[in-house]
Amino acid sequence: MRQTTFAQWSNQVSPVHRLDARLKLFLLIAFVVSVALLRSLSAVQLAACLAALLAIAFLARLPIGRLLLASLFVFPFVGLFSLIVYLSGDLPRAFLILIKSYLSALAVLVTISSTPLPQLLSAARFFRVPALLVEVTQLIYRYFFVLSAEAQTMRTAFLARGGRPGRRALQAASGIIAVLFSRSYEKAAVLHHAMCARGFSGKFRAVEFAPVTLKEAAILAAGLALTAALHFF
Amino acid sequence: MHIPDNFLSTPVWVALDAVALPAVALVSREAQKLTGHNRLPMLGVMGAFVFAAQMINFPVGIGTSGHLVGGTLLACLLGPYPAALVLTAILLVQALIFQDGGLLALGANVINMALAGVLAGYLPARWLFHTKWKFYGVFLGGACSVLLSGILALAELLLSGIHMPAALIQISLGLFTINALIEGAITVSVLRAIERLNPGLTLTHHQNTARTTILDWRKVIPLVAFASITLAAVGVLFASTLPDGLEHLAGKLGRPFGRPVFHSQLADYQIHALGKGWFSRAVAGLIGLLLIYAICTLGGHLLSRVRRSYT
Repeated sequence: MRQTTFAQWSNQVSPVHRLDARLKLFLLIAFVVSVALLRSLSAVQLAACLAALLAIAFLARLPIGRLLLASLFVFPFVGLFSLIVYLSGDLPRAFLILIKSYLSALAVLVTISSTPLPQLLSAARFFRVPALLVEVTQLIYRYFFVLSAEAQTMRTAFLARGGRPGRRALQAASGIIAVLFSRSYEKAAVLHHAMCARGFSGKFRAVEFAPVTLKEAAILAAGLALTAALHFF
Repeated sequence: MHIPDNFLSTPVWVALDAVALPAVALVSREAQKLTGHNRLPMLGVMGAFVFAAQMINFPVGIGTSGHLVGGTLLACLLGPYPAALVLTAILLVQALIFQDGGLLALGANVINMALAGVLAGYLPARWLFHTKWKFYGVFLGGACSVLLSGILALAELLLSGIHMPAALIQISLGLFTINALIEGAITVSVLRAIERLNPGLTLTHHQNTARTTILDWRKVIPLVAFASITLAAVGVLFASTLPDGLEHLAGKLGRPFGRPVFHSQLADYQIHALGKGWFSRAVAGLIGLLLIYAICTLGGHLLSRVRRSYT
């Protein structure tokens, strides 16, 4: 599953992976905002953005070919909206938006495959995102794979018993979800007990961030300067 | 229906993000208050459950299939605030890990689906829950929630200056309606199945044991206020960005790769494109928004203090 690939990539060791997650989150948002504010995109700007993102990916020792391939999966989501813009009779704008959205999505992809999600969420917590939201997001991310594997197993079992589309399938799908709900409910209770048994006091301990070093401050300044410079190419 | 980045114009996404941030903070605080001591594992695993359930296809006739969105289902199972919080978290995971929905458009997506969607789904379900039309209420809730999310997304795109032909809007509305009916049917079907397996687990249970799902109108008012402020702010900004000059200029500058490479564009387009009044109006709008938020917060504090001194 491609999402677990990102999780694996994000646990590698590289200079980019070692960087402070707060810094990466801040630069990601700065880059995405900068791209969003571009009213047009020259070939130089596009090349600069791609080169910067791929350079970061290279420094992070990510497999660039597979990263680019994975980022193509963005197109179905973005393409649908571009199609709407195209159908409204604005071909250049549809094209522009498509490319800009691709760049934003690629930036997000590079960030999440060079930063473990718990760290990224702790950085979000540092920027005052509500604690409960951050914690729930973390648990959703953790349990999504478990529960979707379970759902997949149930679906396979349904098909193996000769299930096929039709009125029955609607009931069966509802049944699958209901069973999934019961199992999730049990899992939540078990999880709660396990957490209590390990001394959980009602709050996750946040990742402690080391103080920002001079090098990191320099990287932040350089990154911000580059994202701003995008508008002057 | 997850809007990606760059499809909303800057005033629209900025305004929606500015409204979504305090609204999510409010929802988070309320969810923290209302749910029990095991809220964290429960909310997290329930979020993962809805997320996984979204992957299951429902055959809905003539070769097509739909899937659950789950806002109304979550609101019936957990209550409106926890449901909104969990859906916000799901949207966050989708934007970060699955690249489904943009980072800057997160505010818009949260308002469409997690806030407005859950509220629209919860209210009909709640009103009819203790009558014999309970499942009609749930059906209506599911349908309203998806329909409202879709219409809001469409409205935001239109406000962003994407001129859709009337036929396209009609087709989209038709598709939203079909999706809404499918969501209603799936929600009812799933809720029935869940109740059969775990009798007494949904809304009724919560209401009898604790005040978990009772929607307090005092607390809804800030939400409604936020929604109306967004609409007002976006409307003002939209009106101020519409003049033909900007459209013309955006069209002229909007050609990808077509612009001379080295050209001191910041000097000319920033000022022209933003217009003389645009920037100041946008800033004024945002300041107004913040002021209103500050007044609301202060008023809320004072009110709660007055109430506390009475009791």
